[in-house]
Amino acid sequence: MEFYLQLVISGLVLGSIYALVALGFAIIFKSTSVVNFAQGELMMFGAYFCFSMVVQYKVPWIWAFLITILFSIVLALVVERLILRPMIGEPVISIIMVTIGLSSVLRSIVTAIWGTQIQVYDPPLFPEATVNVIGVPTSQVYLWSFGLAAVLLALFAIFFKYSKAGVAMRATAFSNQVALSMGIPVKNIFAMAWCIASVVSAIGGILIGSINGINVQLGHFGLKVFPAVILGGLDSIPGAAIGGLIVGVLENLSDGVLKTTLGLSGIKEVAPYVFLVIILMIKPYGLFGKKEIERI
Amino acid sequence: MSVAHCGDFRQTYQDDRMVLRTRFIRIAVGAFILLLYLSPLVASNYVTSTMTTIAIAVIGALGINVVTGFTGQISLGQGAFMGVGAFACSYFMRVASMPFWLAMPMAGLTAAAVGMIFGLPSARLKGLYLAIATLAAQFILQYVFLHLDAVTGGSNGIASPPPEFRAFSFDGDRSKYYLTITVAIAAVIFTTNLLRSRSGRAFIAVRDHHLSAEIMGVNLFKYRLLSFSVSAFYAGIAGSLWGMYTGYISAEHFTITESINYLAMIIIGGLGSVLGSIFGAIFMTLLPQALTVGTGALADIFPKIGFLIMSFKDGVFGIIVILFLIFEPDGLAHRWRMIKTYWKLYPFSY
Amino acid sequence: MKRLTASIALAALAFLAAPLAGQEIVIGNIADITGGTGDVGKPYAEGIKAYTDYINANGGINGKKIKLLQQDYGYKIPEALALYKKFKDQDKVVAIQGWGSGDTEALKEQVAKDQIPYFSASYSAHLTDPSKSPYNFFCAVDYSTALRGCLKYIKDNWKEKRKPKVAFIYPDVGYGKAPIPAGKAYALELGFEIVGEENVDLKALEATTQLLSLKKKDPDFAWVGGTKPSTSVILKDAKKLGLRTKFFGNIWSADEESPKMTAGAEEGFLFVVGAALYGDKGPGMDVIKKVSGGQLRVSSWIRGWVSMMVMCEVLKVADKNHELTGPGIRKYAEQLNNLNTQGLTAPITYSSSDHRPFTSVILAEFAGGKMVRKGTIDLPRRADWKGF
Repeated sequence: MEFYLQLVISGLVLGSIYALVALGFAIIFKSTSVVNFAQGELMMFGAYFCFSMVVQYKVPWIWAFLITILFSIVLALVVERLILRPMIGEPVISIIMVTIGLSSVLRSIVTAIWGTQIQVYDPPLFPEATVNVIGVPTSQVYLWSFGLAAVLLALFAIFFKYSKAGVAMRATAFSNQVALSMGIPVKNIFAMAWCIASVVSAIGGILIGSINGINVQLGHFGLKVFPAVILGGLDSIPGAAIGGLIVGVLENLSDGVLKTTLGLSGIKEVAPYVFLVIILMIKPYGLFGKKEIERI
Repeated sequence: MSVAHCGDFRQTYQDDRMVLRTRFIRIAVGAFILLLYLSPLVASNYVTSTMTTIAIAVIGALGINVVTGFTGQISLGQGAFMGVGAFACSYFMRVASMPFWLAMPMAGLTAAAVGMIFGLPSARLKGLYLAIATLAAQFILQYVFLHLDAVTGGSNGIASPPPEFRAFSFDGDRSKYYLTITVAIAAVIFTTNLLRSRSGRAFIAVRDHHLSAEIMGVNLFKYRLLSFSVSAFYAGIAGSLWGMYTGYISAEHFTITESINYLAMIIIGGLGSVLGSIFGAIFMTLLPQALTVGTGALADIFPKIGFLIMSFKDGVFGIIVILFLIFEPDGLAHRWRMIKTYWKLYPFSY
Repeated sequence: MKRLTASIALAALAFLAAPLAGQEIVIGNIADITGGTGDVGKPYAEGIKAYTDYINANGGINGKKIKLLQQDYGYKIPEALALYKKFKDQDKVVAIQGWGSGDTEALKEQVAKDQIPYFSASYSAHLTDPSKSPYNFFCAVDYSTALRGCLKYIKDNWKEKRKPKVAFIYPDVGYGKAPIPAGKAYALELGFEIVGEENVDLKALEATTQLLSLKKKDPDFAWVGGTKPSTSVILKDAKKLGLRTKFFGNIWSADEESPKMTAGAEEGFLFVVGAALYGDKGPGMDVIKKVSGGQLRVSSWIRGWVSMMVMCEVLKVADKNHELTGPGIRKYAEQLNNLNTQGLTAPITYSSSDHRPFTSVILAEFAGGKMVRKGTIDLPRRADWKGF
């Protein structure tokens, strides 16, 4: 029993990192209906930029953090203006392809500037000491990411529900034309959505980088986002975060349970997808997604 | 010599049904096919094998165009379905001792069955949810490839024996090319006719306005499922040919990168057109080769930054894809049609 | 007009870049620079290039220069296949320097059919059986022998009366699974008790579940058969969870850069070293020090250097006998007897029935953040171990 509890705890904390990345993805989707395949690469770029600030230029952590946030805002604005703006109105599949192309470009820029070696944050962001969470020694990094994910989740829920900008974003996602006719500057809304998502991704990237170093392969995290976001429902920001947690727990539980009972090795990576398909058959719009009702 | 008739004046049903309308087009297409068959005699082995890969890509691209271009369902599992076909074909040839000409369609049918299973979610899912369900199919099938040791050789992969016909074994570059190009031409003909048939029109109706299609009596679920299986069938055939071409297949050949590659082919080539699949396949197969040659030449000239240039290969690829989508969103097929129209009406502009 | 001159200029450049027939030996290099294993693939490719430059500047192959065509395939197998076709048909290479299990496994049947020698950085044992893969060579101890060497070293230093308990942790891919059956068989032969087996993916960020279930079985030793990132994850999580297991790993599990990632958790980690480490004594290392200008070169760089060195030695002999072709290179490679690699590795011997370069395993341990040589285990060249 204690073993399973430990699995769940470690799954929750790992899942909080998925939740962070999923949040960024969901914000872009909710505001602009763009499926961003380059989410992982945005994360990686933020992590690498912070690395260069901390290690190469020896800037103290707090300043490096703020400069990285500024940089990710600039990056988002550039990407939005150059690449997403011309694609407004194109079918969704072309936009998906553009983000895939964008991920290649970002990966290539990172490789050219920083090389392919695995880099580490030195001095590290969090001290090595671990904290005991119900008997499972957990790195501080995970606790911070869990807390951050919870805080951001609450923040964004309030933002989208009550603030003027948040409501404007939801209106834009619902229908660009209606939003325009109500006087909402749609282009600015797009830019803002990308900036927020980029900042959240950069923070997620720094946290992930603190766990096991930064590598160009960090971008592959972006693919893990999809089961999380779809599980939670594409339209729902809390759903994305909760989906991330579920994916984390699921990975650990399937590894611990299915391996011993069914003898399936390596099921850890595939389990979220199997679970996803099952859930989608029961709830086709994810757990918290908005149901589109079509009656003929 | 006219590329198309001026106006729309057809007197018989036969005229209406013809795919290649004017004599010029018929001669041009015939000459092109003749050229394809004669090219190995003059071209080097490298060119011939590249054309073999292009032919395989054309078949796969046609498949994904059926499900994504004609029926409007984004599929991210094409790579995995190719894998199903490749492993099934190898299994039938090795274990069931089937000859290749029988094993290949059987492999296609196996892939179609698998495609149908993974198309079942389309009953309830729409749009992006369905796309991610196909992404799940890709990963789940890849896991199966890695672990079904008896059929796929597990992580080591398995050999795919060359097809044999009486005493002749298809294991030279040229013979492989002839086999694949014949199958590719057959696939193109099949797809063109598919579009003109009842099912093809049903696919397009499902894509364009599924509510109206349902009202008119088109069974949405049946045709969605059918399009998944048809596209998986194409992928299975392409996979068998790929297995024959490389001689040795493993799970690493059929990753998410392949699926994304096929999606890129039809998006750049042109969604919903047979010509678009062909153009897209040619473009996406030749672009990495051209980049390899280009970076190799550049690295020769600037040896000190050779590794830097190599890291740009991926980026240049991405930039070209992005530029293409921004400036030619309807794809290469559209550009081809524009060029044809321009020359048809030259020197007038309308 | 400008475009025309530009294209003519480019064509002229491409033409100039084409190899001059006869005066050059063309070698292809399928490398992974930007792909999943690029962190060790790039130094390996750099090592190959460095040796090529060095030998071209010092007499070449009996006066002929080597033209090295290095291309990155990003661990995408279809691209490796296309590159191979290009090297074979268009560039007419006589031999290829490959990289990892992905490309080597995909191409091993084809290089056998096309008779092109393939030197890889994939040290899988099944490549050492010439009856299955006659044209594959590599210049480091194979994964199974490495695992056996570690087991023997541990057993030799085991002082307690009871049977030592060992577990195996490896990724669920060909590279990870390859040496496990051999390792298990030899472990039982030596008198180990096998208590557990876990899978940790190459891209894993944490291994808590796997290590928790291992902790219940309390192994004394555990084999880690992954790469640098996954090994560092396992070591860090093991330290966190308080496992008392001593870990040991293969060639790719650690190098000079690991302490940066593991920040102390690597203390006591035993691993296999493929070739001499930078800073060792020996004529080969002196050359490397001169070429690198005194800057540290990681172990994968040195292995790339050695691989190209061995290939060049074979090329020299083949060229002297006017048999600079694929089958010729294979023939003279299989005649190598105790080739001296200037102290960088043990002497290399291939034969027509055995492509194992050598069977001695050099072990090192991390102590205080530094790699400390622990000794060499010389294993017998057993026939039942060939290809296993």
